[in-house]
Amino acid sequence: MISGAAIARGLPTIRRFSSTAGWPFRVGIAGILVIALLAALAPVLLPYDPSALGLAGGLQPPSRAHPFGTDQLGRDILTRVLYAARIDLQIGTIGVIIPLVAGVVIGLFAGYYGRWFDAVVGRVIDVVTAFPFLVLVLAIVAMLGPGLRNFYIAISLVSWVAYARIVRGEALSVRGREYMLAARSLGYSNARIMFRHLLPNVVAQAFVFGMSDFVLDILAGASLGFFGLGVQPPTPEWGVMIAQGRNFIVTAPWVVIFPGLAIVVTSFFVSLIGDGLADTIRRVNPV
Amino acid sequence: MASPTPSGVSIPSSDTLRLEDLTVTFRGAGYPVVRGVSFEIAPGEAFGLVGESGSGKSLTCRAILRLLPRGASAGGRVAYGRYRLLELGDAEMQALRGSRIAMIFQDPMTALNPVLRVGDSIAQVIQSHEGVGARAARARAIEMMERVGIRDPARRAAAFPHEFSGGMRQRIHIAMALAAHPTLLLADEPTTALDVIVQAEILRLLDRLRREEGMSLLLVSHDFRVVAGLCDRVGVMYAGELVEVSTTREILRCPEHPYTIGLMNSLPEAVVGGRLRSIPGSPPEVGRLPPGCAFAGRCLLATDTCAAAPIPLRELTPQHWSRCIRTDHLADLRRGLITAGSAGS
Repeated sequence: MISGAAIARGLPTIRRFSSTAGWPFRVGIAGILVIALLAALAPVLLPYDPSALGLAGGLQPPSRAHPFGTDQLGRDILTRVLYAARIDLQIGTIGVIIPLVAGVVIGLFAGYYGRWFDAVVGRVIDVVTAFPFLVLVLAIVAMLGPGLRNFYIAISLVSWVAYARIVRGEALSVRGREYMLAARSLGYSNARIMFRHLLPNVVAQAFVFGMSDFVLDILAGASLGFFGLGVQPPTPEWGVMIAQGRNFIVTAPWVVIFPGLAIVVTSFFVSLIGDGLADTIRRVNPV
Repeated sequence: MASPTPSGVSIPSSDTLRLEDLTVTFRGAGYPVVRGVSFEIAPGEAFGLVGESGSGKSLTCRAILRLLPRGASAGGRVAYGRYRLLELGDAEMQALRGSRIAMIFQDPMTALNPVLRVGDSIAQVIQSHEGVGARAARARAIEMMERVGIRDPARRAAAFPHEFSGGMRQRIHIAMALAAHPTLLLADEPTTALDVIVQAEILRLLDRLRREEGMSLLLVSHDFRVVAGLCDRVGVMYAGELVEVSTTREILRCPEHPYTIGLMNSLPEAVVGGRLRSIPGSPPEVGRLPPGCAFAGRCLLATDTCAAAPIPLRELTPQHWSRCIRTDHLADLRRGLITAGSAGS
């Protein structure tokens, strides 16, 4: 089934996922890839400029020329939704990767070494978790000033704790397993035990959480955009589009419906990926 | 250095393991749970530690590699050749683990890392101790799998632990432990989690590999039969102490401690008259040990002297030591004449 040459390298966890994950995982991946592709090819696929004001006037309902209609400034909504995907996918990706890496490493150290480091990390996690996620992100962005870079900083400062808590808990339970003792009995260094033996066994749950966090980040980005603290107009971003269209929600609902749908569809595919990962973990590690 | 082959071309020389007055104490407990254990394992010798759960045999075993559970610390002296293991720096100890002294554990279901392919697990041991390349390590890993009796090892090396049965996993676990050619193997209940047939196969394998490699072996088990079948000498542990040490032959022929006799009488093979004869009562709680012999409370021969003061390990013959002062009266017990029933009535 698997070639002998593939024995020694790579992160086994990842390989295991891709080979054993079921259809939801593949559908989710495919869906996200299609969205990313559409976003990348938007200039080729569509004749409009995302920030060019329409001469024909604003708030046109969906039509052959403008399948999603136009907004209050006469800009093509389909174009803006696709361009916005670039920013929103980026928000989700960066907003997951930085806290995931930081949280996993910190949680791993805390769970493996314990003692004072674990006590300190535990306190910090408790304090940060005590605040609602969005309130904390808003507060930090308000302090640092609006903009994407500060948004990433805020997200990273807040959501690493979730990953750290997951990984710390898993590490604590895995640390006591016999194969960890066996690894020590074979004379492996702490670094090797932590990263090659412990990490692959504890990181899966963090990946699963990362998928729902991806959705949370997009929503946080949208909320910040709504408050004017995130992406600045006229750059298209789903949250900002909804925020700016809210005055027309009764007369021209398409202005908010399509960016909203974009968030829903993206979230759906990402959740499928998360479910697929979770399924795989349960199948491979039934305990 | 050339890897030793089954024909035994370059067998690494084994050293003497010497435990002197080993104690293991849990932090805050105030009393040791392993109390003054001393024994020696000569190069190439197989020594068995027998005792029931909680007798301290596993802790003794883990103390040698300094792999005690958190909060436990070892006292006394443990020497392997020129190394004084309890005083060794962490880095030196780490270098010794796996390369000179290796250990195998009880449960093959949990002793292998579930996310590593078994070939990688074995190759990693070789790579981390011998600085050989990945390709050479992999070749050696496959060779090792073949030696522990895994069919089609080149293909099976790419499989994960959950794709193997318990017995096969224990073979792989053994392959890992022996991959860097240690000269002393500590086996903590290596077959307890396996069924009887597989158990016999694994024991035969261990015995064969031990002889091929010229390794010393410390085998820990609650099962007298396992130890008797594999070991040259046996130590019997009770409540954290060695109560009897002798050669296997001698201890089977003529056990010199009431606990040892009870242990052997409680084997299914020893059943006379259709009933399994268990030792009445249960071991004393550590921390609430009686002032004298720890077994006195369950012993049919106990006298006031037994309960009054600690009993030292006494030399009966140069080979045979016992922590019993009433060895002259053991004959009846050995014949099974005194049992719990007849003594109580």
